[in-house]
Amino acid sequence: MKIAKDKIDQWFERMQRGYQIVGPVCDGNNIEFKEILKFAEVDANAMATTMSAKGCLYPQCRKLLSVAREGDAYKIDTELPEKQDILLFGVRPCDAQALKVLDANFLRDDFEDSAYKTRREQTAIIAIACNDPLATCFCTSVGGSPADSEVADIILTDIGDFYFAEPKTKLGEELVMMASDVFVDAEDADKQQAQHLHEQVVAKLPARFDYHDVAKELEALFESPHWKEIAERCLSCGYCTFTCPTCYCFDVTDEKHGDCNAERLACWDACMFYGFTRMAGGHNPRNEKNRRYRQRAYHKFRYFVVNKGFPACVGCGRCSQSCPVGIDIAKVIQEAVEKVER
Amino acid sequence: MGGRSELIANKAKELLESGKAQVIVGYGCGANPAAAKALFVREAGQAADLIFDESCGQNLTKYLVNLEEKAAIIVKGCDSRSLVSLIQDNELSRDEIYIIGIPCDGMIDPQKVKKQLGIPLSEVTEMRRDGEDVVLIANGTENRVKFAEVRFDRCTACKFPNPVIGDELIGEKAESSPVRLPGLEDIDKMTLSERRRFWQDVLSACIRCYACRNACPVCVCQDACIVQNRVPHWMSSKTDDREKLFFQMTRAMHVAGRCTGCGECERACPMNIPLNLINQKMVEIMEDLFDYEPGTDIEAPLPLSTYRPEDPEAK
Repeated sequence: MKIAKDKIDQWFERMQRGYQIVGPVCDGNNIEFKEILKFAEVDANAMATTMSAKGCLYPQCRKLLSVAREGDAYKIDTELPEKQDILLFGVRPCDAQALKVLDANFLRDDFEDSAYKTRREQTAIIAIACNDPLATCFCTSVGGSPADSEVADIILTDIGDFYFAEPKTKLGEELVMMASDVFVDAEDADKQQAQHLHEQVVAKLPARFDYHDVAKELEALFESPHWKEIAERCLSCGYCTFTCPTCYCFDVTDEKHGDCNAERLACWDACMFYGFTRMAGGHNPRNEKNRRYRQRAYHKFRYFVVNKGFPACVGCGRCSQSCPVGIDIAKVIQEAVEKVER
Repeated sequence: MGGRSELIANKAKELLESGKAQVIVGYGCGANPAAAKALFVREAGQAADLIFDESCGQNLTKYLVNLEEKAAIIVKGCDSRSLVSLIQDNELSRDEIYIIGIPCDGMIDPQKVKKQLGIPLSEVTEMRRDGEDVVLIANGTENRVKFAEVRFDRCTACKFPNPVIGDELIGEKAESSPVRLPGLEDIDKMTLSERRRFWQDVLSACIRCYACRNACPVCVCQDACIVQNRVPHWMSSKTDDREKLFFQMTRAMHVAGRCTGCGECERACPMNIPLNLINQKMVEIMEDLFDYEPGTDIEAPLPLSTYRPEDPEAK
């Protein structure tokens, strides 16, 4: 199937009856995920948007519960977010793949985050395959692909005036069916073009390392001075964490409002912050930058692989794009592994 | 303006070999040639990795605060003024740092390059200065842009192209023809409620990542920062526009008087918020109210922590 770019609004219109469509929008300085009404608003060529789409499913600051005094008693309200069906349009395959990591954390066998679950169950994902990677992209090194994602409901490939559409799930097929009069059959030439583009972009992204090997090799590198060298220029700000589509740690904080009201909030936290591991009593096992940076690398490239079978990184390269001190995590891992091999 | 890298490398080697410094804090080749990275050189053999060119926009002075070794540091004019502020604050001791000053006529702003070329900086594979131009090669294509158009705004407004403090100077003294920081005129014309709306709108992009705070040389509270305080709980962790405005205005007030408008906050901001407009305006206010230019005199008492009978509020 394929859909003409100048007819996508008709498809949007049908989908908007059931979904709030969110996509990458250029906002002067930044490209961010915002609600979109028309296809023209989408920056469809956006690569490594400033912030990821994570905030749509997992907001930066969530209210877990609120407490209000009523006479002699306290009323506690645990609010779930309003059910809002979100359709992520125009994410890259890496961003779609990131949900696999978030799901692994928030939807576990022993515990499910109800707020995340409510949003996630109703989320549809239409990804656009990449035609040209950036120098900071490395999805193929972490089990991903620039042209495909097991998490997306539909993969669109830009073949010029049309998008070639591949539904990957039942929901994807339903979404395409919503505009069955707007979609047309793809010709063989279209399929070949899409196939060729996929092969081309994958060829431009040879894997920089094998993540299974990396997970094993990191074991021996725990005390390596490499982490201290890299982290020396780190500012311990939260940018890499906040922009990352897979980082999911949060801090729980209680805030009082007057004498009779309080709220418990869960807000994004970063293991890069100094106080991340500070405990009551003052002890802080990761009080040094190199320990914190090492933790970031190990969590993503070793512990998650050992525990879940895949890295907690999708190779989107956002962290490397704008780290104020130019730390590129893929290069950090490559260099670390080279030290082992030497 | 070539040759400076070599001069610095030689100086660094000399300082390390003589024991005058145990670590050189300078610049090295970054992930891409238009944005140098901070480099900490401890072995004389590594000194050759030090560079200095138009990619060296970062202010390195903050790293000195937590370094325990005897350090030598490369500073531009703007950086040197941060050093002065840090010394005035007793965060650094003058006689424990060896200061290598370098005059310059500006540094490349990666965001301006991105806007001019329409692609992210990561795709630039080569950068070289050519007189009034900068040549940037990306995806095999050569792009020639005017240096004046890709410099940081703060460089356009630079009144101190030569370091104000130092143990030695490398390179020729520079001259600048500073204009007022672009953007301040427009804000001055706004009414107070227009300004509030402007800032609330601009700051709504803030993600409270604290890159500005962590990058700022004079934000020295480190882990005792007001945002982390719980007893008392001054600041909400909520991310609505009101709280973001509160955080940013608090930070601006806390650095006022010590902030030199170095622009590191703006450079570090992942959301490209023009933070330096706030800080540069505060610098102007310092001059108006206290006849004080931050970061120029290590002996000068800090205006906001010193009482003088002549102060405007004293009467």
